[in-house]
Amino acid sequence: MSLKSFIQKINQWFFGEHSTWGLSLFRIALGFMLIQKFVLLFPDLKLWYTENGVLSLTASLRLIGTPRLNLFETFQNFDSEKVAYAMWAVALTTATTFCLGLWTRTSALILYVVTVSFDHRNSLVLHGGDTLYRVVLFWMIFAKSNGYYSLDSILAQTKSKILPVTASAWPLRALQFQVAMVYLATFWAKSEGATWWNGSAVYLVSQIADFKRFPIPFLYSSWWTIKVATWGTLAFEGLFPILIWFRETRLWILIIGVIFHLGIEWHLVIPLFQWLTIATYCVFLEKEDLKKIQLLFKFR
Amino acid sequence: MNNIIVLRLTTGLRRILKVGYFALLLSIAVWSLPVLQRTSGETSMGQKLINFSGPFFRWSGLWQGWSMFAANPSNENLSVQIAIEFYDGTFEFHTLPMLYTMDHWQAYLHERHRKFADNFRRDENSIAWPQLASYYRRLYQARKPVKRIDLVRWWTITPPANFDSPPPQPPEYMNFENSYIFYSAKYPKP
Repeated sequence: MSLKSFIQKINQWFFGEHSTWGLSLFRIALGFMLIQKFVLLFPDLKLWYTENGVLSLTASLRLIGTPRLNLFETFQNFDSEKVAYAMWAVALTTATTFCLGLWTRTSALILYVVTVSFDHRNSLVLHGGDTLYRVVLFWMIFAKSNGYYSLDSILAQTKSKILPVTASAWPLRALQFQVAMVYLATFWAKSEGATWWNGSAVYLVSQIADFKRFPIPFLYSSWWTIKVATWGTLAFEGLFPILIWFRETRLWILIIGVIFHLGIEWHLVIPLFQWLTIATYCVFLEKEDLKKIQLLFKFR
Repeated sequence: MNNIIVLRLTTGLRRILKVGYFALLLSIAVWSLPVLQRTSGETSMGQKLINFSGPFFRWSGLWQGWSMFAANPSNENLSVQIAIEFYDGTFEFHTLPMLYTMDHWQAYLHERHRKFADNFRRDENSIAWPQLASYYRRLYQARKPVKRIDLVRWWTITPPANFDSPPPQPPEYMNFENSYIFYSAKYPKP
């Protein structure tokens, strides 16, 4: 292969035209997850995000450092409760329009700004899911995700227009790269821990009482089951960023990932994060995968 | 002639944008993988890229780290208690919500409280300690003047795995063995 043809292939893979079907699915799933996030946030809005709560704006800015994209800082001269409720209303509205695919790009941009503002306002209540929301929503601002299953496409049809169902692949590739990087990073970080190699890490997690949810039968019946769970976690997270790029293994690693994350959702109290991670798998799906999944279930 | 100039400018701009795009992806890799940031003596290329991209990543919300349960899961069960002493000689004690004391749905709703307790008690977040004390003072001040508020860490350590005996089951309740007052505030009598 010549250098020129190699560069052309890279250029085509990153910037060539690609179906927006996976992105459209991801838009719906991500929008739905963000609606849930903000609904769950509502009862504690005053506690976390106002001057009458546990963390003033001044203290929060000193904690996180500036400058940061933060509408709470922009509107600091207004009543903090009104600002918090107004921002929440904007977040919920734009999450809904984004999910439905209405004014999709504008919704994504406003939703991103508001989501980041909430995260920067109180960094003490953030978990891994909040980070994942931010980093994937950023790329959705640039992605054409209203080609399928969107109100934008329905409205376009009423004006005798059809929205394109393909677009340059670069936002999709960035999302795929980001998701793969999450697994690679977490695998690498865990690989530096002795308990992941000696097989006892899952035991330590099980002893944190606040994470406890529903039991998995026989998981803690012997050290061997705990070791298998520990090493299996490490193996899955290490193999995902490799196997996801090959047509032969992509669907299998995604199916294993769904089972893995559903298991964690069942067993541990880590709200929404597992569902969000499963939602990100949409960016790896092609329309032909539906037929393959159908065949898989027919065969069984 | 004008068309050629526009075409050249557009092509040039596209190339610049592509370079910026790949630089962004590379920065994401460096932010995600701390091993690329480590320095030994001279500053590494990874650290230089972090320093260059840091202001934009921090401002925009693209900052990230993926060290959940890493390098090792925590071996601590912890709780944060707020001890309030009033001028009338009485006391009240509050504990930040502990999820294992709740039903599954309540635990799901209150997970951010666990996260708050876990982050709040860390020394690097000491700026927030007077804030929580002030919050509880405001809750009570109108009704009963507050004399003093102590913030107390309670914790218990999980012993390392002992492969020679059967694995312990997940705990049903916690018995916190250690405590430490990490912040104390006194308030004048009104």
